Amino acid sequence: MAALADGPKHGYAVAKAVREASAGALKLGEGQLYPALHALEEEGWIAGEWDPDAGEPPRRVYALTEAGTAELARRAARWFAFADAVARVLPPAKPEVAG
Amino acid sequence: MSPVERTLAELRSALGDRLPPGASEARLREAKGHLLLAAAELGEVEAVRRFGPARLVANAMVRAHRGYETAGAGRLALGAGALMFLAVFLPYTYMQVSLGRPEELNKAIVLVEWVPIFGLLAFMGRVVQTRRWLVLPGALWSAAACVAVLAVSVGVNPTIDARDLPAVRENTRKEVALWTERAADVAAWQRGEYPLRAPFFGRTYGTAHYGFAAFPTSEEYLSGERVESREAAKAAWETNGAAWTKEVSERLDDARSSLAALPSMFPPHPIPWPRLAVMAATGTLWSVVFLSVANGLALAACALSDRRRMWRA
Repeated sequence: MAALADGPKHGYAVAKAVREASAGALKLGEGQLYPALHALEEEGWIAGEWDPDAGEPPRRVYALTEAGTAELARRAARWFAFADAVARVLPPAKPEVAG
Repeated sequence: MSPVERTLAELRSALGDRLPPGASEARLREAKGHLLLAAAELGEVEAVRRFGPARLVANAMVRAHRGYETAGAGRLALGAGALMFLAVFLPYTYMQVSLGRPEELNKAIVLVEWVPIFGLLAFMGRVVQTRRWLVLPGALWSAAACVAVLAVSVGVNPTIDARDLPAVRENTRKEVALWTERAADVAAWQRGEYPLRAPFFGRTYGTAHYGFAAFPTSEEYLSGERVESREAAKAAWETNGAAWTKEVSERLDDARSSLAALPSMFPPHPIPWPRLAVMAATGTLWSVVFLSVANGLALAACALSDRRRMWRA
């Protein structure tokens, strides 16, 4: 959903955006992305429609709905709170010594 | 066939008829668009590799379409839960209603022992389909079945009232008398007198068994079978004597114990609601235990199966 926050995208672009934003750390099984997108669409958090101008190959473009935007904000807040709590517990990373 | 075409063919085959035709074609069209875009950028081999095994993608598409990830556990467990309800309610109710008909007893016991297992299998099947924890809705259906069975019990039990007790007592006395007679026969056979009657024939459904105090004793099951001659009697005794002696002794002891225990075999009538509630809660608790084990085993089997499929893919 966060990948759609800056505008509608088709599935391949979502996968690419996630990979690039995470500098390759998050590699979605790209085929598994579509069931996830369809599940989000069922929930009403994203809306998909076929792009009539896409031609070949066919593309279905997804965009966040209002409910999706609110849900994304809610989940992001929860995640950041969780990550912050874990970061407080973990010891700080030791700096690497050169040479 | 190119890698992309092969993957799409595998995806079509894996989807099969698990999705409605429109949904299936839409998924395939979308997958084709994705693969072609990826292939243009990365090459077909890498595009297909990143896409993942077609079978796993198809399974995930089917799960998403059926709402297995997003639907509530209650809705997912509805079909299996209703089957479980019937599987528990029907045989136990049949058993209650068949009180007083000894010929139905074995049938009732088989139903009570085996039919709920099919309900549990239906539950496990649903867990395998959805890969979800469905214990809570399953337990709620089981609780409903417990309450329904107990409600029927309350409805049936009024027929076992104080008017029936003398009849049951009389039947049990008859049973004691008949087995005492059989014991006398056994003693005669042990002395070598070989009366022309086998000391044991058939089975009894009298009050000695299964705790159903309302069963009338069926005399026809207790009558001795005639043997044709003393020689035949002697031969029969040599073959079966030890077993007959044991059986008659045990049946006589059972009948005497039942006669002594008669007053305590009748449940209070009507069953007080607090006791009904405890009985329903106990039944539900046991169902939670069984359902949890069944759910866990089903999910473990799914995990093993999925892992093997991924290795093969």
